[in-house]
Amino acid sequence: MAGGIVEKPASGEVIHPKVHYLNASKGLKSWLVTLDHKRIAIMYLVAVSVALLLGGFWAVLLRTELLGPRDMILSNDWYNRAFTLHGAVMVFLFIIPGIPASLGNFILPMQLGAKDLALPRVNLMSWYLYVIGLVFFLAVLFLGGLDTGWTLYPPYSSGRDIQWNLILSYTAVFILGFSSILTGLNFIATMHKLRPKGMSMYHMPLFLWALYATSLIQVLATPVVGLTLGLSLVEHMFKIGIFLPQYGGDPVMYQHFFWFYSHPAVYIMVLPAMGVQSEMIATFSRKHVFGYKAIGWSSIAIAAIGFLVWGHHMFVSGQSPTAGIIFSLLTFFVAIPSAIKVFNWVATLYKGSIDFKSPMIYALSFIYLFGIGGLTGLFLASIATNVHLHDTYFIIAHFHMVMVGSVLTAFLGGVHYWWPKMTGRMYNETLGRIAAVMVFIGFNVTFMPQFVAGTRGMPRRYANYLDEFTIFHQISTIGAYILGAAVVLQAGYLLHSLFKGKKAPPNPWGAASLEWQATSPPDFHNFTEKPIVMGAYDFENWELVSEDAGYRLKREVVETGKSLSKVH
Amino acid sequence: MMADLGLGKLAGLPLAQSGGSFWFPPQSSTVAAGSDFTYFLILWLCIIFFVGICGATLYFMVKYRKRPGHKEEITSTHNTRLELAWSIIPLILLLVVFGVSTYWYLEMVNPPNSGVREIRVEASQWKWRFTYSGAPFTKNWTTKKLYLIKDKPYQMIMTTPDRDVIHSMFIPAFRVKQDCVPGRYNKLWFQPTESGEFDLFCTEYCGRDHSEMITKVVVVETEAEWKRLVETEYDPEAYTIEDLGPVIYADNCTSCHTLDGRQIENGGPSFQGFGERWGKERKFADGTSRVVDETYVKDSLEKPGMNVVQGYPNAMTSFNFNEKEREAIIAFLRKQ
Repeated sequence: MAGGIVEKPASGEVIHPKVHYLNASKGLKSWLVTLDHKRIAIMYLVAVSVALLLGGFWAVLLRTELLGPRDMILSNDWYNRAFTLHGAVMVFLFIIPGIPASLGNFILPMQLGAKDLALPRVNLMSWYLYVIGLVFFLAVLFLGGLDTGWTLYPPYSSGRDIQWNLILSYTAVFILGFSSILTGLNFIATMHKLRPKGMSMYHMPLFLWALYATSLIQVLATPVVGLTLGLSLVEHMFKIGIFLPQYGGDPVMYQHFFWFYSHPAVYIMVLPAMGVQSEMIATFSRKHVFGYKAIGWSSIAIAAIGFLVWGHHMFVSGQSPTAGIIFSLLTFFVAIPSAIKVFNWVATLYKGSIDFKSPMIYALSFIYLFGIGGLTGLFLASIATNVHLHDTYFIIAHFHMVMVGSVLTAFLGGVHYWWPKMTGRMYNETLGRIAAVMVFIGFNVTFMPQFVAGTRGMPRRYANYLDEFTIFHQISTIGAYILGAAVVLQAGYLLHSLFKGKKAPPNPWGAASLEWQATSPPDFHNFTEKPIVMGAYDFENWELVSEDAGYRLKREVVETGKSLSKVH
Repeated sequence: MMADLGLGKLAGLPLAQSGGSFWFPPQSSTVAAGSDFTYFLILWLCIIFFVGICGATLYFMVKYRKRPGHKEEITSTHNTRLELAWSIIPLILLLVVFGVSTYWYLEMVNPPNSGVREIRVEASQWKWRFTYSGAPFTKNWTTKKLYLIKDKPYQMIMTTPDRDVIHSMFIPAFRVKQDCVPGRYNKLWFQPTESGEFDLFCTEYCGRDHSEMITKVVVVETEAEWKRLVETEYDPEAYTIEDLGPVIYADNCTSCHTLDGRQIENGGPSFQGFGERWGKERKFADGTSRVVDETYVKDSLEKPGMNVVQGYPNAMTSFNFNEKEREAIIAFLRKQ
C-alpha cells in the first residue's frame, strides 16, 4: 500500500481545481503537440465522434433507401457506396479505435495511478496516424466514394482498372493499422511497467484486463491485414497474381488472410466494451465484481480462441468441409468465455444497491443486447444453419447486435460514466436517461425484424428487394431513425453541459478505482497527491457526502492509507 | 420436428411463399428439415438461456433497486462450484448442438453414390446460366432458370469466368448456398422434394446489379415436362440469325449497353450508331486503334480487356458464344 498520505479535505467540501489539464496551457498548438494522454484522449474522442456521425449519416441514408423495395432516393451505385462507406468508416474509424483510444487512453494511466502512458510520444503519433487515415477516407469520398464493401474482396475490388479511390482506401487502412498497433504496444508496456506498488495484475480494474487482451490482438493480428491489403495494393497496381484469378491468384486466399485479422478485430471491438461494462455494473450496484479472475481470464481466452475461428466466415466459399467442421467446433468454444462474463455480471447485481443512473441503463441494456448478439452467434457457428443464414439479414442483425448493440452501448455508457472526470461537468441526468432508453428501443426496433427477414432468405447488400420483405425493412428503418434521434439528443446535452453543466465532484458515482481520487477534471499530472492504492471494487472505502458533492474517502482510509475491504 | 412458433399468423405478416412458416420458406429439399431442426434446437436453447439471464437481471433490478432504507450487502466474490457449473453445462450443450449440426452438414456435402445428375452453373455479372449435358439430350442445353425434377439428386459444378467476380448461389427453400469463385470449381448437391417455383438469389456482393441477380428454380414432376421446359426456354437453333440477335442482346447486354445513346453509369458505350462505325478505325484507351469488323466483335466478346474504348471502364465479363450466336450478334450490331 502506498504511504505518504497528504491530508484530504474531510469537511466534505468539494474542490474544483482552478488549474487542470484542460487549461494548464492554452492555444491550438498546446493541443496539437501535447504529450498528455488526457488531451490526446480528448482529441481521439472528438475524432472518433466525427467518424461515428459520418458512419451514422450513411446508415440513415441507406435505411431510407430501403423503405421501399425499389429505388427510393439512391441509385444502385449510390446504395453500394453508402453501405461500403457506412461499414468502412464504422469499422476502421469508429469501433476499432473508439473505446481503447479515447476512453482507454484517458483512463488507463489514471487507473494505475500513473502520470501518463509509458510512451507519450508514440501515443501522439498514433493519433496523427489515425487522423491521416481519417483524411484519406474523406478524400475517397470526394473521389467518388467506394463500392467494394468494407471487406474489399477481390476480384471485385482490385481486379478492375486502377482506381485512386481504392488505392487510397488500402493505404488508409494500412496507416490506421499502424495507429492501432502502436496504441496496443503502448498499453501493454504501460500495464507492465507503470503499475504502482501494491497493485498486481489481479488488482487491476477489469477494464484494464480487457484493454490488455485487446492490445495483444492489436499487436499480433493487425500486421496481417496490413500485409494483405499491401499485397492487394501491389497486385492492383502492377498486375501480379496473388489473389486475382486472371493472373493465377486465388481470391479465397484473400478471404483467409482478411478474416485472420478481421475476426480477431471483432474482439478488438467488443473486449474493451466488456471492460467498460464490468466497471459500470460494479459501480452502480455497489458490489465487488463477482468472479473477478474468471472475467479477467475470459478476456484472454476470447483473445486467444479468437485467432482460430476465422474460417467460419467462409463455410460456403469453397473451403473444404473438414476445415469447416473444425472451425465450427472452435467457434462454439468462444461462446463459453463470453457466457461466463454475462453470468458474472448478472451475479454481481445480486444483493447490490442498483442505481439507475444513465451509465447503468446502458450497462443493463448491454446484458440484454449482448445476450441476443452472442446467442444468435450460435446459429452461425453451427454449419447446418450457417449455410442457410450466411450473407442474409440474419448476419447483419447478429453482428450489429454485437458491434452496435454492445460496443456502441458500452461506448456511450462509458462516455457518460467518465464524462464528469474528463470534462469536470455533469450532464443533464434526465436527458441522459431518456437518450439511453431511446438507444435501447432504437436497437431493438432496427435489428429484431432483420433476424426474421434473414431466416426467410433476404440477402444482404441488396439495393432492391422482393416485395415480401418490405414490412421488415420499414420497421427496421423506423428503428434507425429512433437511434439517430437519440445520438443527436446526446450530442446536444453533452455539448451543452460543457458550458452550462454543474461542476462535477471528484467522485460522483462512488466508484473505487484510482482515477476517482483525482480532481474533476484531473490535474495536468493526473494526481496532485499520491492516490491510495486499493482494490478497484472496494466501495466500502467511500462514503456519500451529498448528491452534489458526490463521494469522499472515509477518514480512516485516509489516515491509515489502507483499504477497509476484507474481500480479496 | 419442432413446430414453428406460429407467430406468423399472430403478427399478420405476409408469408414468404406458400407452405412457409413465420421463420422460414417451405422445406423443399432433403436437407431443409435437418437445417431447420438444428435452427429450432438452438433457438429453444437460446430462449431458455436468454429468459434466464434477463429474468434474473430484471428480478435483481427490482429487488435490489436503490431506495431509502435499502443497503447493499457484501457477498462472496466468487464461488468455484457455481462458476464451474455455468461453464461446463453450456459447454456440454454446445457440443451436442455441434454434433447435431455437423451430422446434418455432412448430409449437405455428401451426395448419394449413384444417380446424381450434373448441372454446370456459370454465374457472371449479373446473370445465371445453367448447362445440362448428357442423356436425355444429345447436345448441351443452357437455361436462365434452373430446371429440376422432383426427388432426383443433382450436383452443381459451379464457377465464374476468370475476369468476373465472386457470386453465390442461394436457394432459401432448399437451405443451400455455395459461392461461385473465378478460377475454382465449387460443388453443391441437393434433391428437391416439392414441385413448384422457388427464388434463387445471388448472395455474394458482385457490384451494381447484385440485387437484380435473381432467378427461379423450377421443379417439375416428370422427366418429359422437364425436357420440354429446358428445350424451349432458349434454343439458338430455334431462331433465325435475324431473330436471334435481339434475344441475345436482351439476355446478356442490357445492364451495360443501351441502344438509344443513353449512358449507363459504369457501363459500356451505347450501341447506337454501331453500324455507321463498321469498317472504320476506332481508338482505344491504351492509344491503339483497329478497324471495327467481325474479328473485332469476336475479340471484344471473348477478350473484353483487349480493346477498351476510351472513356469507359475495363469492366466487361467475357462471353463464349457459338458460331451461330456470334453471327447473330454481328448482324444485330451492324443494324444499329
